Amino acid sequence: MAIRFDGEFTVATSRAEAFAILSEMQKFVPLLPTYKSHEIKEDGSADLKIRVGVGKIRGTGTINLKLTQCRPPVHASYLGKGKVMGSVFNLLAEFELADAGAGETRVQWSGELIMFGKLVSLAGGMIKPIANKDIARMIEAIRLALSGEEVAVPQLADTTGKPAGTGWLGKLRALMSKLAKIVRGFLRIQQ
Amino acid sequence: MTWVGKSLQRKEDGRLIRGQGLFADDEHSDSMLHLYILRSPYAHARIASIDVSAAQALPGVACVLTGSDIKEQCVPYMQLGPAPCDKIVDLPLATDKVIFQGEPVAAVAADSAAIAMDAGLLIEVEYEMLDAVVDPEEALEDKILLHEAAATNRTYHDVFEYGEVDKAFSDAAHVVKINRLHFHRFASTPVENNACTAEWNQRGDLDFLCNNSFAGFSMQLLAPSLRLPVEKLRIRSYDIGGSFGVKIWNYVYMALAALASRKCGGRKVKWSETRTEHLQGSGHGNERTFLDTEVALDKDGVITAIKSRHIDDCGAYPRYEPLGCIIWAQVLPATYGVRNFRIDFTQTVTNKCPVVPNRGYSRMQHLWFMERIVDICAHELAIPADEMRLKNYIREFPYETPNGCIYDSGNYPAMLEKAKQMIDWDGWKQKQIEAREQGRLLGIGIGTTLDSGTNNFGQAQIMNPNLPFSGNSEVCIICLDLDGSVVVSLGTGPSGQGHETTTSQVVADELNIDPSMITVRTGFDSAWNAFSGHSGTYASQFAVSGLSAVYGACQKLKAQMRQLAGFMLKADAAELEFGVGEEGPQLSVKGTDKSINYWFMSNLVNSNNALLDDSLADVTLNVRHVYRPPFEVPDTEKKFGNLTLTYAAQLHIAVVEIDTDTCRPNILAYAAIDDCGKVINPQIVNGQVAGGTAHGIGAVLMESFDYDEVGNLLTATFSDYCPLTVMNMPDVQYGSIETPSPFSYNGAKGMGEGGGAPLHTLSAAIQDALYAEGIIVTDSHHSAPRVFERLRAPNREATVSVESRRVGAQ
Repeated sequence: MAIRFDGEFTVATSRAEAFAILSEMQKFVPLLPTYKSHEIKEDGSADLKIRVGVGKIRGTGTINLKLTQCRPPVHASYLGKGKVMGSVFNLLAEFELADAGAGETRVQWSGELIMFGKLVSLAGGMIKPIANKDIARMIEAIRLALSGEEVAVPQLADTTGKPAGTGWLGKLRALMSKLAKIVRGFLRIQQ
Repeated sequence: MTWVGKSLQRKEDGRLIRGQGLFADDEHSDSMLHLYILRSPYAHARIASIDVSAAQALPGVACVLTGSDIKEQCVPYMQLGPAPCDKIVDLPLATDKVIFQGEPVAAVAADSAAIAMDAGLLIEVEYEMLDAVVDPEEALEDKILLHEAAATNRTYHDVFEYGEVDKAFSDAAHVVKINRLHFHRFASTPVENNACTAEWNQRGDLDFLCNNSFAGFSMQLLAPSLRLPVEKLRIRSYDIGGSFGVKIWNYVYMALAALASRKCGGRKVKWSETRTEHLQGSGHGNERTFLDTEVALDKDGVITAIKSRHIDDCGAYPRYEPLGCIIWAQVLPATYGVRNFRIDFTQTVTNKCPVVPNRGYSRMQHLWFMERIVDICAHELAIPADEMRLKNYIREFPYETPNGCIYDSGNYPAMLEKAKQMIDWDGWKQKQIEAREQGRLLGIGIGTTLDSGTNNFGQAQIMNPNLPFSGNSEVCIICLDLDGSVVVSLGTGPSGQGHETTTSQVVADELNIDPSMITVRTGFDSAWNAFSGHSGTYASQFAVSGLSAVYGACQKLKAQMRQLAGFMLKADAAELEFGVGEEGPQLSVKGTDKSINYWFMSNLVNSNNALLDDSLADVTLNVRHVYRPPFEVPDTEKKFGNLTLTYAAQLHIAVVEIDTDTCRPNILAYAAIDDCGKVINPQIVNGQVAGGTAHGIGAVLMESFDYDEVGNLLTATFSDYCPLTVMNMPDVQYGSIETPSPFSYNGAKGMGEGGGAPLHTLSAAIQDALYAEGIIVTDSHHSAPRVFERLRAPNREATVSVESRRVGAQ
């Protein structure tokens, strides 16, 4: 299953600053969707752990990510090879940076995610929308990081098709949260 | 009492319904090892390295197999096809590269299935990804090669030409051109997946308990590959939970279990496939594309000639193929009297699961093609579908087809008339008019199909003249056991067809006893069953080849019993009659009270033979009969000769409405008429027809193996590859006619495959529903999403063209 993606955004950051984030492994890898942890290896590549969830299938995946092309301050390419639950995937992500004037930088991004194996076979048609959602989340995280805005910790995509909090577990959590608020309020009153 | 023709309750059912059947996966012992097969996630990739150290270190792991073990220990499986198939290296594990998703890469034997799987997932395989090719036409460009040594993806090509094709086209009143038709990829989903246990002991004997359904053939491929003489190989099966052809091919996995057993010092190793493994790697039915089809018709709509280009996609390895490149020719003209054909037939490998024989193997694809042609021509020439068929049906039997096959008997017009009456054809025609006025999409379709049974293996020589196969045979041993009981063993290894029951019916009639007095040995064991190289359950042949062997064995046994009884009772053989007396089954002298029962006859031969004289030296009461149908090797140059002994037929009519909101085709009425000659057991035939119909309906509406562009199978579970269940099986009105075969001793014809009748029928009904929308049905799969796509893009103008002219006006 091959998913190709491309697009562009503009950030109010200089090209050099934007490139510094995009080409710095330590800064870049936490922006990947469902990031869990990483370790930088001697060859400069990073071994990442990510959370993976497709419907009821949940697990941890690993990716080895390499910065394969680095032409400051205009181009950065990453190549990732990953494994997850009996499946493998290759990720290519490329970033072209151009001066957009007024201290802004236009970032053109493109890439391809190719997945192989059991997960694709088992999850069938669910993979593409989830992957598209995760790619959109990754790009948004990169945009925010380049803009100097706070990046929310990427969460595992909800693939159950239900709005958050509508399952029995969600309802239970909501109820517990309400109860906790009540208890905290009660305690404040007591103090 | 005559038992043949009665709906005798199946003898197997008591055992199976009570959970007393014994299947391959039921085998268990505490010391047994369990095999996990690590499969490739890629459809095409080079294996750079395999690290099994972590797997081997896991407690409970007995051994790990990789391609390097296999290379040393196995000879590649024999390929049936001519060059370049002989260059293809086919081994139980991939060695240098993988060529379909799900191809075995390594195997682990461990104390439990869970440990084996855990260990399997610790194996580190480094792959170098290669571009995959899943489209057969693209594969034929050879830009991406699967088997480099073969230097091409094309595994077969030939032209099947009969009659005067060019003349027929120049004389035609109408020429209908259809640019593309496609028969989709689906398979069978037997209740029981593939499974086996293997024990390769220190004496070098290899014992399998398995569910292979064509043991006589599989042994000939398996033994040489494992470098064993056949006599060292023992293959056993008890009950088999369905095969439909798919289990012919599981010897590839049996070899892995055997090699693991040997590596583990002869411990018993069990392999039991999961459903996803089954869907991904056990074997699919052939996918076929029909290109540039041209049909010549006379002014009345009678088809006079057909030319077309067919491309068959056999997946990654040919294995049983390219036999399918010939087998379709058993039904070259289908049920129609067309005399002129030019079929350019090519087969290619692609990065998909290899194909295997699947219910209606290879003929089903061709029969669907023929039925689509007839239907499309009928619509384009505004001839009603039933009239079109009546104009074109073969009517005189026996009928020699243009390629020399002999259709034994049949009456297709009578089947059509009966089906029309049963479904209320005229009533539905009226309802169809009313429905169309209301904007509803309602169609009525006819599908006529053939179930060719008992094939002539000589057809393999058309494909590869060097193959040492021809004719056909089946073997039966029948004896009176030490206690006088009648015991029958066969080489067929049934997988749900009721062989124990029908065999008992035949033997009971011959010996004039009750079927309950006959023991038909369950399953198959190469150590003591009678069998030949053709033995097995396939190609709709048991009613003819199996029961003819039984019948022949009965005649031999009866002759010996008469000789012995005549000696003991001092009577002429002609005076003796078979029957049941107060002391059980016996022979008696007509009109007297003199008799001898089976126990005493057996006692005389086996334990008390000093009472006998030399004239009875050859009486063993243990006889073997080999049935051999009257086949000749076909003319391989002309591709001419009789390829099959009998031709059962089925005619189905369906009424379908396409839901305009969901695009789902709903079956409103369905009738099935069957003609398999003389019926041995109507209940079993009825069951086979129902099963075949369900299988076909599932294939049309729900079952399709869909691959993405990089070779991932997207339908590898029952969530996405949805087989039909009782919940969505329509009511089927069932009827039959009998046109006895002149070529079998009992007038029966092989049946059970059904020739994919629902595929033809539902495609025709959907065509009828959608023709007015500018749609030509060009595919055999009609799930709601496919119908939705079709409705969005009417294709008639781009698919079909008609050239009509006044004959002689040129």
